[in-house]
Amino acid sequence: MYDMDLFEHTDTVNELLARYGVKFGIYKNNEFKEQLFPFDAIPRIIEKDEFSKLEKGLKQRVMALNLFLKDIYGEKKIIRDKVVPEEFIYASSGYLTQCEGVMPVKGIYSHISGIDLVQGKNKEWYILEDNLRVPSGASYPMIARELCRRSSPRTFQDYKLEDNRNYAELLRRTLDHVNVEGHTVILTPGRYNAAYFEHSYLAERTGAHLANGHELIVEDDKLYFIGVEGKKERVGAVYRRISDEYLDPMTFCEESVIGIPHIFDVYRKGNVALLNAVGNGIADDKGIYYFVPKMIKYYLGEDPILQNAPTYLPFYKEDMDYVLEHFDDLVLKDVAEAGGYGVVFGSSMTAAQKEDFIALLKKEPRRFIAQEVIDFMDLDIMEKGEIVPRKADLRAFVLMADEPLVWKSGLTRFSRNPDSFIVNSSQGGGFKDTWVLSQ
Amino acid sequence: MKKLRFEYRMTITFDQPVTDHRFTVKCVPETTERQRICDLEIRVLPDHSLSGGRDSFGNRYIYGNSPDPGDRFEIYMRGQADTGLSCMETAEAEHRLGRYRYATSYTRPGESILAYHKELRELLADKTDNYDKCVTIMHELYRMMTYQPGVTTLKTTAEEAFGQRKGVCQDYAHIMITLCHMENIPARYVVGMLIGEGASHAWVEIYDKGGWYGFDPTNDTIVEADHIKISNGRDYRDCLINQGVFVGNAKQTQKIQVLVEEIQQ
Repeated sequence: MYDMDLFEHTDTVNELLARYGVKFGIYKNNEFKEQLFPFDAIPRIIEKDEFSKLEKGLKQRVMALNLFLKDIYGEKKIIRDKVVPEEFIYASSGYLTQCEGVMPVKGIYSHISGIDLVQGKNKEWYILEDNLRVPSGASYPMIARELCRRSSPRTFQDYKLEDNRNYAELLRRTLDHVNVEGHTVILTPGRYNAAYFEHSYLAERTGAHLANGHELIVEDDKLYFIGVEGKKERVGAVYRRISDEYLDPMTFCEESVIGIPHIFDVYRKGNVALLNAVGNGIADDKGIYYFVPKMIKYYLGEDPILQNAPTYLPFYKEDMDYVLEHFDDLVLKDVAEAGGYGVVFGSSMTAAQKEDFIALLKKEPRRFIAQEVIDFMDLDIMEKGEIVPRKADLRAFVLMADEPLVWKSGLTRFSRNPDSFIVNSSQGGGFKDTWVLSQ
Repeated sequence: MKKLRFEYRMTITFDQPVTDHRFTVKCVPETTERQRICDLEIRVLPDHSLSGGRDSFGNRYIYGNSPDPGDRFEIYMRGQADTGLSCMETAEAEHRLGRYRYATSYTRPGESILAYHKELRELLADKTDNYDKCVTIMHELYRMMTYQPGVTTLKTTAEEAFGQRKGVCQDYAHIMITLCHMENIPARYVVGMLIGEGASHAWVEIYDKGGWYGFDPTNDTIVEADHIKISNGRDYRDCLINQGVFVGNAKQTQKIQVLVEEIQQ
């Protein structure tokens, strides 16, 4: 049933990806290393009907998360009504007090959301985490599709699937929707960033300027781009690929040298749009994740279409009891960590480790969540000419323009290690294209 | 009620010229229920490009930049204030005050404050109002601490200052805020000016039944008509009067002069 024509070109596609600079940069032991992000030619295929359910669920989730952000930095009704305990807000590093009362252009907070899902063996999809700050990864399936079409055009005549090369158009529409008047810029921390390839690729595809912090300046309450001849041009929207704390040394981390002094002041006045909004980290906090289904009910009055992985909050006594009783069946996550770090499986701990961990858990219950280990559906990958099953997840991209838009594709990441459940690319995995069938 | 005249001057000199100086200045006292500000005059130099804004704590600020080389930065402010018009400022709804109940890096308790809080608890046991508790906290803190400039810095945390039982107004305020948090009382840091001559001053406002009340632990006194408020936030950093970045490897020297005197009528 596999299309061998496509697979025969795997090496060619990987060579082309390397030549285009599709790399993943990571810091390990204080050293910057670029590694290739290996592409596996066997696509993840999602049927039309199945994707349309995902699409509805993803839109619903992102709409609720946007309402949550607006509420948290404004009225705080969800705290008043005791749906979310206030310690989960104020003790989280994702909550930025400087954003209190700041309304982004058109009230949109999460313009580009990367929602990570896994499919269980029971075929059911579960949300693993929400990424509302600077989610990366859309460029990889975009360019992979492009190269596959070139190397194996016939495949794409035989299969009826959604063209995923429209991501740039969706992104441009999202950027233009909030642009207050002026140029559109993609702000990169520079070529040593893990996702630099993506920054430059998306700039090229959307027709936006790629700039670093030194090329942007604030003057008279507006943001300007300094062009090649030193000419200042007004900027209306910044798709910033640097994190909140480095964005503006006058408001956040004083030591930041990659940020733009006073950009936050201009943003506060509504004179420039920043994508994503500042302060979004509170909505994709691992502790807050537990409350997302409750948010959907609270803000939209609807039942969640997509489920969370079954999650327990040791903060609540009955959940703590459950966690202690079923410790070996659960995966524990430190809410302050990201990128697959701070994740431990109860069953893999030694007795001594377990004892230490439980002591810590009792001391700082708010710091952890516990989840049932989901029996993932494996996906086939090609490993040294053989087809083998591996764990994989899916990052779906939801863009918020005049309406929520779900990209009919996504980044499928897999673990190369047959025993690992962690598929984060900063821990050395590969990726696949995600095909959504159009009929 | 008092009528006060105030004057504030801050000068920063650089030992060699700096360029691209960008600054944010939070030194705009405003009329509130407690104080009426009039004839306010503010000068910021260089004034190449100046704009105004209001931060997330409601403080007004001035920001700007100076691209050209310069070796001097100056803020001058003067005006008059009618003070002591009310003993409190109306607060926003209680469910929105959460940020004033949680620690920042300055107000995170450590061993010495945690230990002290256990003793303090007994003294607070028979008190139900936040206000009454804070009167006790202030008196006790004043008794425990010795005012001594030079032993702490702008980066000293409440825990560090309390550990040595010494410090200045900034430290007194941070410690009192930390103790209030431990009693679940919303508390905030206030920067302003005190009658007399010297530098700027810092004190605390605590929340009780819909209002913010001023406590000055450095002077063991309830804030009435001798204080002029400039800004408030969670800690020292939220209320920084002056912040700046510039290009250049210069050493800077800062001088602050504040004069507040009563106008006899």
